[in-house]
Amino acid sequence: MKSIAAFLLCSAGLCLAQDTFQQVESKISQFQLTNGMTFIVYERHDAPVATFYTYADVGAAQQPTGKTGLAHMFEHMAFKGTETIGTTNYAEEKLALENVDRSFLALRSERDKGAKADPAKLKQLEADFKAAQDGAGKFVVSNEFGKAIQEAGGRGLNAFTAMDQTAYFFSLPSNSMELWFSLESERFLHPVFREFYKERSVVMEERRMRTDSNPIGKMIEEFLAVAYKAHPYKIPAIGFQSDLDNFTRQDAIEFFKEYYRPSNLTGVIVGDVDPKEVKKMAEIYFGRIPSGPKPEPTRTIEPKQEAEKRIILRLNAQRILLMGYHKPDINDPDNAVYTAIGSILSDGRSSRLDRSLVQQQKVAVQAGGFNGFPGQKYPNLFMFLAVTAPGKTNEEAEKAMNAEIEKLKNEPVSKEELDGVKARYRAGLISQFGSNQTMAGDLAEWQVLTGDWHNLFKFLDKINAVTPADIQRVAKATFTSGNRTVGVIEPLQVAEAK
Amino acid sequence: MKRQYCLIVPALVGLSASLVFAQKPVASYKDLKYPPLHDVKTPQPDRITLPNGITLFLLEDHELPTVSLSARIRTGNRLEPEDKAGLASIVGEVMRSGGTTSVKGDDLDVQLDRIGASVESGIEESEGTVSASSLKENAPQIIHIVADVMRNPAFPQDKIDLIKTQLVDSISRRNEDKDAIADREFRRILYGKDSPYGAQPEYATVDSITRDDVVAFHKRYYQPENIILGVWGDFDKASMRALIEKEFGSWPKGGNPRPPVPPVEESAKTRTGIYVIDKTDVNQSTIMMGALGGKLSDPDYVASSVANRILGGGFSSRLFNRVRTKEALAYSAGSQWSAGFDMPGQYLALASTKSESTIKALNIIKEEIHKMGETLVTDVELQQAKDAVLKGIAFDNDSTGKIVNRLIQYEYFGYPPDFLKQYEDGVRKVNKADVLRVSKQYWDTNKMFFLIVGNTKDFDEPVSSLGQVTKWSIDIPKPAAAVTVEATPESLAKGKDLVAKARAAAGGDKLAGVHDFVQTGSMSVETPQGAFALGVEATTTASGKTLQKMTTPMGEIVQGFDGKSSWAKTPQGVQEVPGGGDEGAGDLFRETIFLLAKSPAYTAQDLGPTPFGDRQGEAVLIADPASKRQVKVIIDPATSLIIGKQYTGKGPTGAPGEMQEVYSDFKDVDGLKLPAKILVTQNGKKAAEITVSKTVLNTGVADSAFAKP
Repeated sequence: MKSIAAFLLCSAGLCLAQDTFQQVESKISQFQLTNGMTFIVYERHDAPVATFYTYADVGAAQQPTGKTGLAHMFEHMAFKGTETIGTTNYAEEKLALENVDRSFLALRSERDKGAKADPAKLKQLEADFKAAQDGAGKFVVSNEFGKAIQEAGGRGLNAFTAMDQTAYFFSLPSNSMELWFSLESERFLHPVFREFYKERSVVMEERRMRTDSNPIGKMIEEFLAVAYKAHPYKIPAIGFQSDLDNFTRQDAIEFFKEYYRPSNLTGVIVGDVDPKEVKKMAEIYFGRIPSGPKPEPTRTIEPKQEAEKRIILRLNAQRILLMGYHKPDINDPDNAVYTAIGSILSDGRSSRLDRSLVQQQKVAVQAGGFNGFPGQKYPNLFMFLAVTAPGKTNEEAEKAMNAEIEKLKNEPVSKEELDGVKARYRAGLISQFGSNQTMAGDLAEWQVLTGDWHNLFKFLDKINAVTPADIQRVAKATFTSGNRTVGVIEPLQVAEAK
Repeated sequence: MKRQYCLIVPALVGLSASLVFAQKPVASYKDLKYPPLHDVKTPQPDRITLPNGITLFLLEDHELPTVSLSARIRTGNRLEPEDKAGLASIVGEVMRSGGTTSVKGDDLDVQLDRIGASVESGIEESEGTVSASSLKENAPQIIHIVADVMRNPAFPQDKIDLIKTQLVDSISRRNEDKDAIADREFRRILYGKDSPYGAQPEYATVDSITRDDVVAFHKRYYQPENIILGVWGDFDKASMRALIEKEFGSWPKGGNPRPPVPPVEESAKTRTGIYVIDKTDVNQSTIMMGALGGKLSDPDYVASSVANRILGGGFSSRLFNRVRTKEALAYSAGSQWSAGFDMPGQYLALASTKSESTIKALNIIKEEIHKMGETLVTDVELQQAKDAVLKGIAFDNDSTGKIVNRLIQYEYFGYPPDFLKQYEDGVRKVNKADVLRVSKQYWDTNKMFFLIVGNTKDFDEPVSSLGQVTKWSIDIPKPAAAVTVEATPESLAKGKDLVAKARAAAGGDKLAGVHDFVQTGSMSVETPQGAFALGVEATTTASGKTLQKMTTPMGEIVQGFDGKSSWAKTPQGVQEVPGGGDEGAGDLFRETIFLLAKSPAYTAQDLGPTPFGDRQGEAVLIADPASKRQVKVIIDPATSLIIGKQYTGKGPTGAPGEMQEVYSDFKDVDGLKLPAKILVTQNGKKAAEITVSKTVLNTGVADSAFAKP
């Protein structure tokens, strides 16, 4: 039976791709340690390098109220070393760090008095806090964690905190794989959150760069705050200034204990490695981390939107239009339909929004529609974006965008157009098999968000099953005015009376 | 767009002996011993020269069923004329978007999108590029399209116009992100803003580019002997070579000489000084300092790149440790040694810090730079920097695409194919004395220039504490006035006469008695959803101040111009309007009452009769020799009243364009003849209509009314 199926596929022209998928899938394996940590390995031996990726199933969506920015702050702390890395004497440093914590709490409680705070006392407490930090700083070996990786010829050392996840990754020459096992397991076994209060300032600079001094960054923060009223997707991952000012090292430790248990971590290795060696080392190194239950899930569900929401941001910037419609999470049976809609609207030079808004009507210089913002784990937004053309108004761009949305609802997509979506998805998937880092990230994401990395491959079948009727049905159900948030940037010079 | 990310570092640049794997965790990573690296043979592409001069690299890679292509063409935007800046980008884009003489661009888009393939072209500073990728079964189609696009582009006018609009848009948006401003202006200050390495597209340069320019630029550079092609992926070399020969072989040589490398201005070698760009809507500054660097082929390149790693390249560097980790002043801090292949590159140190620590951070960076030239780096620092390069060599060859692209680049710039290996061998030999020598020579803050982009009023110390400061303007030059008629004594005399009559008709010397006036009325701004009505109260003074209060459904908006700068007060707060000063002064210059009152001091050039709406008018260009401002007015020959104006400026919605105002319903106001209806059009389309219900002259409004609240 199997060979007949393969024959049929081949005669349908899908033979090549199908072979590739089977070959790639057969090189991917998975195992779980007894403490609950999952590993996925994709063998590629064409070059003696490998990418190492740790995916923590915790993101900005898990940040406690009043402590926004903590998930991201923890990510920064994960580069500060351990009880043996980054210190000259941990026993003494530990006491010094406790002293820093105490002086910060004393300072904070005086600051909490607001206008009634005693200025002289504040000054003294600030001096104490600085002295305590200087005291702890004496034991610090700066950035030893990162140096160890660079010295080994490591590349691409980085990490990110998104709404759904926090990920840590870098690549090494494949013979030094054990370095990753050693450093990465230590990082989640004996982390020390040194230089915590200094790193808060670094994060504040990051906020100034990404949000405060950047029109699009500002817009996205305002947009999400309006589009969501209950779900934590409304809170920016970078956090708010006052929360950044006030959370403590103890808060980060609590956060670590809750979310960085092995059951909440997935390790992915892609490259020139032997899965048997990987398993052995995983047991030796990560097997040391004590197990713990999965953290409590986030139970808040964004209620149905009752009315259209609109925001206007007036900035020293040119016009931009954003529109978002609420839609279900990644595991919804219609997720492939949304992805297909995104592809019809914005993949390639012949995509609908580019053709219509940019090339024909010239109301925008860039236009697109995307599935899955700001995350995918929970119900999220289908987003539309237009960079409004010079001399055109956001209203003109919105009108043109709405006409394209109505077309999705009212006219069935042609077979050719839908076949293009399927061909592009397949070709895109095949080309990403050639990138260690992309594959590591994708395998981790599909494993954690959908429960099985095979869904990375199965999603192609789902895309292939999308019909023109599906697109109309989903567009009609989703793209309604009551389900919409619209945000625009308008230049500050709104009107000049003549 | 897909997700919100917060990365630990903005961007980072990026082995040993043998034992069996451990059975238990090592106590410290320092104790690790590694097995030898797998001996994976680095594949070598075939290099072929076709009879017509095309250089071809071919490399088979059968891991995945895909084929990729990359081409470099000897051209670059540094070769475009300065007054046509933007031309090369237009050529690069429209080659592909405009399609070929046999297939329309739109049809190419559909063909490629239906099979999940791509063909793209572009022109960068020093090279033209074409890249393509597809599944292997589509390779013949893709190679054909690549050849067709390079050989027979159609350059249709509509696609040229489209990319011109996009360039105009990017000009209008280029001052929104401070880091982008800093990157761009650092280069422009260094190389000279009008030099081939500093010139950038402007409204006027883009406007002047014609299809003939585009066709000529393509013809000059896109010839076989200027092309290096690389193809890698799942194919058989012999058949791929045959395919390339079939598609490119019949392309005859062009015979144009190899384009020159424009020299760098002499003054770039000694650029010093402190440059400041004031940006009032940010709370973080970007600081940069550096100088003109060298080429990759310079003897000092190797040691300089190692010194740079120690100073500011990545996680282990001094600047990262000091500015970010120890002082917590910045999220991004580091340095770059960007050598050019065929022209001197630049090197610089940079950081982004909150406004209130700008000068402090700058001085700390200076201090770290200074130390590099004072004392030897440590053995550990040197070893770490060398290891970071040498232990990661495996990454240089970890994909066939990387290997082919590197060889194309070396071929293009005339570097030996083993240049990377020579570099690595050089790194092995670098010692501490080398690092000290190059640091002393290049990292000398007395021979550098400084650039700060930030909100100067919030700085910890005035910038002048650093020395003599040059304010660097990033104002976007307005489109050139569309007047091309040469002035003659006759046309000037006639213009003067017409304007004198217009002055008399509008009120004569009474005009000069107006010190200020307040107009109230309504304004309707056009939007696609229909007209949007505002209530307006506008106060204008002869001393050059304006205040406009607008009542809108979103609340009251007040815009003021105090003679120097513009501000706006919206429900979101008060903000200064950058570039608004120039805007405000332009509006005042054009104000009919003052324009005519001051007209004896201006020149006026008659442009002849012109149809104006349903009437016939006489066009006169009035110019102020002092401020260089000008406006075209239309005078009704019957009444001598000014019935309209034409100028380049901003419309009611803030977008720049060709503006026209049409006046009607003239009313008598204390002896002056003023229009009560004003129709504003932008680029030929109705933009707004203003109805003046009341005008009061000489209200004696106080200067303080115009100050920013």
